[in-house]
Amino acid sequence: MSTSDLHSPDAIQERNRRLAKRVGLIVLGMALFAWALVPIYRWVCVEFGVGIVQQKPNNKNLPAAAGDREVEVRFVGLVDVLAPAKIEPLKPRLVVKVGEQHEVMYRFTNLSDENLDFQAVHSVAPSLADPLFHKVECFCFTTQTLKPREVKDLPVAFWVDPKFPQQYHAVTLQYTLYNLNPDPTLLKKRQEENAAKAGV
Amino acid sequence: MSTAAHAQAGHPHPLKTSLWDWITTTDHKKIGIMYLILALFSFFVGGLFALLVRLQLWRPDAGILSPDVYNQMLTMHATVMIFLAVIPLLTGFGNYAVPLMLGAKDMAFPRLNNVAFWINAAAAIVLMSAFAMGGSAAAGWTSYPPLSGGIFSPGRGVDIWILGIHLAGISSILGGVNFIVTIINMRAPGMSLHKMPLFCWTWLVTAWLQVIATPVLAGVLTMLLFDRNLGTSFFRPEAGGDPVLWQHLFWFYSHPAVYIMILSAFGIVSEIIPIFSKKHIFGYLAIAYSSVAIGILGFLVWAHHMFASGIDVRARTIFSVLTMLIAVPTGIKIFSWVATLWGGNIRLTSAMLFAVGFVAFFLIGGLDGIFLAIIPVDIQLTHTYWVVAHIHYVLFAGSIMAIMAAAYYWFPKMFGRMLNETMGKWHFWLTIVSMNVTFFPMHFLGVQGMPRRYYTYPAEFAFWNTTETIAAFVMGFAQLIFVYNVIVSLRKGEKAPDDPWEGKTLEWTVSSPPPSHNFDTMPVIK
Repeated sequence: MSTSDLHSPDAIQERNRRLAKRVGLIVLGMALFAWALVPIYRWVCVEFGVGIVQQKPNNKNLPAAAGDREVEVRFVGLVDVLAPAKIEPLKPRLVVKVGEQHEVMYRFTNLSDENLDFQAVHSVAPSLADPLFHKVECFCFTTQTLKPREVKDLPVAFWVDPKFPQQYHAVTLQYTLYNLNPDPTLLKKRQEENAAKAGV
Repeated sequence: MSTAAHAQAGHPHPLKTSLWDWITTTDHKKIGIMYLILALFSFFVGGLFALLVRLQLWRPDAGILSPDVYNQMLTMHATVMIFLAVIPLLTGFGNYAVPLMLGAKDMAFPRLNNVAFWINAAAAIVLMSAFAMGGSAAAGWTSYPPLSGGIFSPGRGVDIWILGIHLAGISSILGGVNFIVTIINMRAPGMSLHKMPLFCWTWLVTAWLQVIATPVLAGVLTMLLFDRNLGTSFFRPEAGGDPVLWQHLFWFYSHPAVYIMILSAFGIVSEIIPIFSKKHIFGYLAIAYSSVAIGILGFLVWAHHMFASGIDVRARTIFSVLTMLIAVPTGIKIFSWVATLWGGNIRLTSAMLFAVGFVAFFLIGGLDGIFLAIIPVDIQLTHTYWVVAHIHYVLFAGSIMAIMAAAYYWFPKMFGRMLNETMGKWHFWLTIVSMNVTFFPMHFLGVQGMPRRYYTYPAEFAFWNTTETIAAFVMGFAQLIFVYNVIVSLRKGEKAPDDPWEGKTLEWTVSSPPPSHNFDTMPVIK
């Protein structure tokens, strides 16, 4: 075929249609792929233990078969400066078997003469262990209230996943207690201190 | 042949035709101009939304907007800028210039081109109509469930938003198919891929991104629509769904979408810098193939938007490394542009100023993005103003600066009149200063922990927020100079010769504006 034949309007139109059909098939394929990604995603999550699907309630969040391996769990409690309170675990450490459910208590004390609404925020160290440290029940799931000067013990029920990495022998569970209604004067003071630190 | 010569030869002025002719036109140049007009209008609407957001943030607890209206403005600013302004502006220039640069008489499917434009216009109408129907979507442009689900976003806002984005997506796919076929099949005899202008190269990669990624967006939007209205549970955790799945699917489209908004901007700059440096582009093939590399890598980095979503550590590490890899092809481009400038005979026209401004400040958007690719840093900075700074350095200092460069560069070809250079320079300098004063301090606020999208903030963040609001209004004013320049120049601008810039590509070989059939004889490249 000569160059002029290749560039004749008919030849170009024919090639355009052919190529457009192919590209159209790719578009269709990608549209189907989007829907196929839903089961693929679930499969990947379950097979490789990633994502959130695996943590559906009443399914895998219950303890798996207990193993013989032991892990030391350390408990820590901290209080944000704006909260007039104390938080301490009743036991500082516990050695548990993987897959076995345990319960520990934290003691909360309101040091002020007013009601204290607070939220305890958890963190797990090492962070890699976080998804493998399962809390079945925790005071951190909801906001809590303490009456003036009240002392209250609240529970955490947990189990350590048997998939907990072999190289770790211990895990630290820490709670930080935050005041939900901090004193406005203290809050303002803190903001000013932060602003001074930021050089504004 | 110049415009005057055309008129003398009995050709009617190619742009002075009836309204019906404009509406039904299949001429890629007119469709390109219509895209540009609609998208420029959308750019100002999106800009107005941004200014309202900034007004609310000018001091703590300003109370200028209600929280719900603030969330709507925030959501619609991003939606309008991405889907109705930046992508259609680049599509407008692509439509106008690509067939001319290839030596083709039109796009491969001219009628499809017209349909794609009007679907885009319908998308604009649908997205805006939400304001008349009880309020627009207010869940952010990323529309993460459960916030965008029926419980937290009742009302029709999110449903209308989904419909509007669907239409914009269909328009984008049709446009993408047309660009691919045009660029692969309609090049002038002798124009091999390696002789093709870089703007066409970047459009070829962009078009592939559009046809591969956009159908996934269509799928994920439909799933959300079903979850909201038909009781399905793709993303509803209370019914066994997973909101993180939305993030995966959404970013599988939306990360390539960032490259849809920047690759052809790279192409524009790669055309303009050599012309105004009086040199050949440095590293032509490196720029072309680094665009392809960015296109491919763009599909492999989506989860870097999700480092704080609780995804697996192994996955995060892989996505972090792949994200940092993108700096390599992008660095190749920046090196090539600087090497082209080096030792060149530089003419600082408005087009060149915007192109050089792009290189200088897009670089900041690239560098602050690398910080976000580092997982521990991202955990600290994600959802803070650092990310807002990053996206605006990429999309404003990047895409919009390149679009403005393209406007000054191709305006004489489009309308046969020169834009006023003095006004162009005012436009540039006011934009470049106000842009940096608006967006750069957002880095400081991000490091200090100011969360993005919040309605108010503590007093310690007030200084930079007030500064940013003032600068944002200056930036808005600077864009009005451009509009005034366009209106005045269209009527009284100096007549443009066929090739005012000593251009090297084929559009400069025809009259300004070109005849409707583009070329009297088919150009042959040697």
